[in-house]
Amino acid sequence: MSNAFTQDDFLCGCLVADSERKIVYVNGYFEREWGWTSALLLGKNSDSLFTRSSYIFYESYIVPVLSIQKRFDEIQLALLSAKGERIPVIANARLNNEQYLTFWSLFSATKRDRLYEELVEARNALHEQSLALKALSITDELTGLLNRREIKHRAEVILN
Amino acid sequence: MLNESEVMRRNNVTVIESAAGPKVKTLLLAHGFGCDQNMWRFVAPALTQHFRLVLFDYVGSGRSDISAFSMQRYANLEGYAQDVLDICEALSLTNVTLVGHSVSSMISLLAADKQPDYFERIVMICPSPCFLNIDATYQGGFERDDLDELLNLMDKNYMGWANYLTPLVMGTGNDNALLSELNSSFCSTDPVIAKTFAKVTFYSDYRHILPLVGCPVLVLQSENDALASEQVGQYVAQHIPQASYLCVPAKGHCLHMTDPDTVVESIEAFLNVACHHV
Repeated sequence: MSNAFTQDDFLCGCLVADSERKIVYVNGYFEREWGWTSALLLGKNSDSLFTRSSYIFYESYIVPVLSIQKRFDEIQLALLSAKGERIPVIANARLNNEQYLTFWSLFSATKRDRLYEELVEARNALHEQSLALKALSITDELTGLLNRREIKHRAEVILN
Repeated sequence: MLNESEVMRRNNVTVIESAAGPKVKTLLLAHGFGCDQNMWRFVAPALTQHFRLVLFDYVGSGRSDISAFSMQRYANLEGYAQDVLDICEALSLTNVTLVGHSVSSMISLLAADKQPDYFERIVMICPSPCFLNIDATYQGGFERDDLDELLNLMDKNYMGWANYLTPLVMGTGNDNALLSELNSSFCSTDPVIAKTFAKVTFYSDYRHILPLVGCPVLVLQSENDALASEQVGQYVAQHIPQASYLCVPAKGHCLHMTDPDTVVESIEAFLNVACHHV
């Protein structure tokens, strides 16, 4: 019985949706990790698994890319668990044109999401700082007007 | 004022002549948020049977000239409408039928409001004048938090797609060689530009321009579209003076990709062209 294993043993959510976006298959990962039994999901529209923001992203990028390129890799989305919790996932999907089926692999990405969150914040902070520094470097502290160096620089640009 | 070849290059304009010869109507096809003129590839072959097609990418999308992007100009949809008008002017287009998907429906109205002479008719595919839930009389479908989360999600995805930190490191100057790499993949683009487009698309409220449209408008609504619901489509049709409304039994927000035949037939019927193809 060494090979008595199934798709349910994989550590990622596997989902198949038909051309109407109806869910026709999910593996056991959905129930184990996210509380979705197959009874709850089969026949349901796959759109309803996404958060509102992920849904916009799905319609704006994933649908066109799947239609034209037939697959995409490593898109970050957020799913809803059966209890309504928000779950960050990395999604890969492939469209099988003959059967009009979409095959999804969904990997939990909670830790990666936290890291990305920090990166986004760091980037935004850097952006704010660079704007503030730029403003400081061209203004005269006392009057709030452009300083001598900036006026000289702009004058040269205008005169040339 | 840009000349023809400059506009053609800036907006990556593609002109496809009709199989029916030169004396046919022109359709100007305007893509929505997220992608580029590739979105029209499933309807284009059938449409060329009766129409001359003009396709383009908005500045900042697809294979447009990203260096032409300006935060100021594209901070509202009027800036995008100016792209449409520039193309009409450069190609001397008049009596055009403008076909806009999603946000391009509103961009089309803005363009037609500014230069009514250029446009004979407008076709809107899955339009929404406002994605936000405003009050009991208008529910665009989304709360502000949903849209904030969308921008956050875009940030997270761009880390893998593009040189996410580079614009900051490089300053505001655009390095064309680098930026052109971003364009090599369909639907990926400069993160700052895409977020600017997302903001004007999803945070705007252009309901006030609906009654100003002077030409006939066809509203093509998808029956199951959580991005632009039937109520939103009906709201659009009710507030446009000369609107016809058609709800297509389809799934999702990209009717022209999922139901190309229906879209083609509806456009042909709207423009009184006989359908000969299967």
